[in-house]
Amino acid sequence: MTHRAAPRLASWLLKRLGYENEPLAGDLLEEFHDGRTAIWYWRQVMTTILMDVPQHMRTYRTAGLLALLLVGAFWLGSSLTAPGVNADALATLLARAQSEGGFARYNLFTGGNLSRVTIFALGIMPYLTVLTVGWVVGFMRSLLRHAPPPSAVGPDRILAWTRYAAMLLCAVQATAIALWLERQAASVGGLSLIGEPGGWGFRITLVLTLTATTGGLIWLSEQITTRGIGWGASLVFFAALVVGLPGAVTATLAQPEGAAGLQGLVSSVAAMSGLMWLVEPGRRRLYGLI
Amino acid sequence: MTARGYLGSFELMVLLAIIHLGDAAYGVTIAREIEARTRRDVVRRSVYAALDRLQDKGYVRSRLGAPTPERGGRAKRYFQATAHGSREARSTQQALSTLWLGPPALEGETA
Repeated sequence: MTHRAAPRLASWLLKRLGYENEPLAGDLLEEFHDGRTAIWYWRQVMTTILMDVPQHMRTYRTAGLLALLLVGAFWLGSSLTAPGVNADALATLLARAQSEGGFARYNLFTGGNLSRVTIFALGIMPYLTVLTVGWVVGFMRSLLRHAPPPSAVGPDRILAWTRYAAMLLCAVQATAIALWLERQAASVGGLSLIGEPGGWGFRITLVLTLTATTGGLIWLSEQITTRGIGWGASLVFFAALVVGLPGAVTATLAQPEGAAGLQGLVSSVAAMSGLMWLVEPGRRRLYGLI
Repeated sequence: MTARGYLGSFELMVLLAIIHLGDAAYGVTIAREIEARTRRDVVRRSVYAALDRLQDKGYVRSRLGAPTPERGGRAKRYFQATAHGSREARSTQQALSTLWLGPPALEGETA
């Protein structure tokens, strides 16, 4: 026996926007086949979708709260300059640094925290760098061997090594920042970039601070990933971007070559997003999601 | 009886429909039973919302039937009132009857 077809769009909307309720979807279809009109079917579907909104909101509440926590942490951390750094002198240097395209773009990916040497100066970037390098190496190996590389170690070990490598890279970058700050020193408009004489005390404090905050962000990103909310590293990255973007756009437009700078900014964001889209399948494989 | 045990008017209707229908109680028959007896349209999603609440309170239990072609291969979810649910329906009915004993004339009605 053949049945007349229920309105396809309505059924599709119910499947996509309704909260999974197979018996209800079956009931609506059964009644439609029993002679209910298409209008009746549409009305039931739309009412169902509207009534399911609170249930969807409850489901995504954790994700929403984590997103708010992330943006809030970045917003708060962006105003906290790393210990030992002279924020006023840095602000003077900031204008000069902003005009250097490459630096400005990398700076944007940290939410503008790098140029101000805030506690989130390195953001999640060391972790993303290690993930990207790992993906490129794996991709090249599979190309050379014409087959996926045999997995000698389990996903947990790979993740652990990624974490250690990211922390090591973070320590190296933080040391470089500390040494750079000391060298600029001598002064910017008569003010020293560091609040006290440099030396190991300053370097160790800065390296520990920046490594700890990046470690915290890596932990948060892994919590987001393991709870199945999304790819944590990308969410943390985009949270930094969201906080830093308005300031970066304003600063870019204020420069003489503002339009060209904005183009560069947009292409950098697009390129980084594209790269993350490429790395994502590798991450999903790692977590056994595909 | 705790406040959590009270039945809402629509929940009571759904529970009574389940008791009337016996083994044949699922979404479609429950909604039609209420429509036939109250002569009002019933939103199907509201029936399921009430059923979920009744199940959370332990007044009904459910089981899945076999999938059928006219339902697009989807199974029916059959409901049955528990002993606790039946007692609660009776107790609510008694409470309502007591409250309705000799009420003053309502607005719009003649005494």
